[in-house]
Amino acid sequence: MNRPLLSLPLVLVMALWGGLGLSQGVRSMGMAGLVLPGPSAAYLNPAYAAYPSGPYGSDAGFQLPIGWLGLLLRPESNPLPALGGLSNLTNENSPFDLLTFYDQFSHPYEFLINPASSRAFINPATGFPEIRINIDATGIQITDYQGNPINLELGLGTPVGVGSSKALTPGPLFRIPFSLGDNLHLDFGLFAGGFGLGLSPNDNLRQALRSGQLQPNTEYALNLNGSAQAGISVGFGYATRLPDLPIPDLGTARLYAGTRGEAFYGLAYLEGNGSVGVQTDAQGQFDPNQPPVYRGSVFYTIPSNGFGFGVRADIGVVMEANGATLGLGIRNALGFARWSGTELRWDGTSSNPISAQSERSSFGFVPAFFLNAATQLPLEVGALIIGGDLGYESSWFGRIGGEYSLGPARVRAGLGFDNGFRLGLGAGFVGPGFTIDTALTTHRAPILGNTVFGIALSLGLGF
Amino acid sequence: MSRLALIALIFLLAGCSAATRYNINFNILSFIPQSQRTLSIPSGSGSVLFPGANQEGLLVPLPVRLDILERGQILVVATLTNTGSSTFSGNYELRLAPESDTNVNDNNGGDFGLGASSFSVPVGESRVITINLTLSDTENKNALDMIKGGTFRVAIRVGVSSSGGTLTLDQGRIAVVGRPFAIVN
Repeated sequence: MNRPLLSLPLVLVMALWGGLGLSQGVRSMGMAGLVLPGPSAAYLNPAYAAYPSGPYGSDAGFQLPIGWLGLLLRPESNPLPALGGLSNLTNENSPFDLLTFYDQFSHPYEFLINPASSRAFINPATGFPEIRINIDATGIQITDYQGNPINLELGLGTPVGVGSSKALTPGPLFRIPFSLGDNLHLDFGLFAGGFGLGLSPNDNLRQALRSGQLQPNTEYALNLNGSAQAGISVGFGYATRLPDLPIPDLGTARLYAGTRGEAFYGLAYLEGNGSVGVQTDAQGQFDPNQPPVYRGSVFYTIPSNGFGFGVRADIGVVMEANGATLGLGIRNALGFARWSGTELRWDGTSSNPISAQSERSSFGFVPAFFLNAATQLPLEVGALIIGGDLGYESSWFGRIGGEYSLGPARVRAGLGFDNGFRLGLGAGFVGPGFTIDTALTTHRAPILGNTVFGIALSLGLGF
Repeated sequence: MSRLALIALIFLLAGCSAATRYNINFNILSFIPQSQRTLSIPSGSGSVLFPGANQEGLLVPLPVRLDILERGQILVVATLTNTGSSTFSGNYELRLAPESDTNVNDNNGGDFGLGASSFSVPVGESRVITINLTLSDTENKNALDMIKGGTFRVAIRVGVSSSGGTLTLDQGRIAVVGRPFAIVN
């Protein structure tokens, strides 16, 4: 393996930690991911850069990586004993559980309450987690001690390459905005995300594991897909309030419009899909001397072998009327991106890849839509904000939720769909010069498939 | 099969704790075609090895060197039928050998026998013989070490004195239990 390839894990870790936890603020998580109108939504709708922050508040806190606490406080996921020797983790009496570690590590900004655990496989008769592998001449079956097939899918994020996303870079880890006056603004950002990793049996292998039967002249393989990217971006935008518009029955509507251009310089990129498998012969048997079949390609960019460059245009409008706010943002209305790097290709004939300089580029109209609306409901005690959003990026998502505030306290709830059903519950406290927000999170446990609950926490400081 | 098992094993590591055991069950009988599961034993005295026409036994492919194994079990069930006119008697034992030893019946190159016993089948009758061995550090350790070494050969040897009979394999299973995390101990 050459030196540049050794840098890839670094890119992956950076993208993983950047991409899996920070895409949404904790306040938003408490409402199932709902994004309320306001300047903090300017990334999704540039017109919000001219919208006041007062009506719906903001998600200004920075998330605390309390997943670290979960990792270290729980013996099942704490890898530190390995510093005194790997056997401290692997000896029979060690509580270390790779599945728990994996689940907590991949959710760095959440303290998982019930992380995935191999204890689900404990056979009461032996007291040990047990996995059964039944092998005969026609196939292999992998089950738990009760004979139930084990789900062999692992995934993090959604692998997306430049070919489908064009110049739509991942949401920034942070943005530093500057007002230039005259409704112009500039922002610098660092992005590291777009992280996706999928590992799954191919259809043939999935079928074989289910039935225990192999077919002749068939390739049984594991598929691996991955993507990640990182870089810096510069945005230049213009947003302004337009003349009020009288609307019959609604009264006067306030209108805002904005546009934003973003250029990025890409530091690292990874896009790969491949498989490793074995082929049966005409009798449906494996030849023990047959080498594995490798297929697929990995394209990667790191500073020593290439770079990325791209530009895109975003537009948005916001209307406020009768106490309600409605906004529509379109990102990547037109985008261009190009990455240069190295491509490794396996053609099924050898385990050694063919390496060549290569590039990935795209140009076109691949918009990401974001529509949101909110209003404040007057209450005798406290105040209530309710809202909803609907968007499309690589898939549809939508949320409804609300926030009730009473003095310095905030309580939030929401429902939504975003790669599955989402429930949001959250709370916050606004103190003098600081805010604390917390939210309940949920995700699907790897391998086991049950719902895992977690707690996210953010702290905002203002002086 | 071996590589399929290997990639499946690697895959499953993600669902594994330090205490997790893999219970791997090999259905050895399935590797012998149905039409070859019965051996005709000619009249006279001598010894026959089954399966394996050239004393090579049956090759059992194991995915890797299984240093992680803690214990195991071998179960062979066969039926002896006396088709001759005199008592069908003799002894039997299981033979194990490493992959490199292509004669599992010469006590040379690593092969050895275990589970030896005797039988006697009256004229016109059948008897079921069973070899059920526990493998551990205290019982049949040489067999456990053999399986830990990876791919191995297995056969059943029958020493007979008869006027004709048959041997039919009914079951052939090897079950081993290992702790995957032991691989990095």
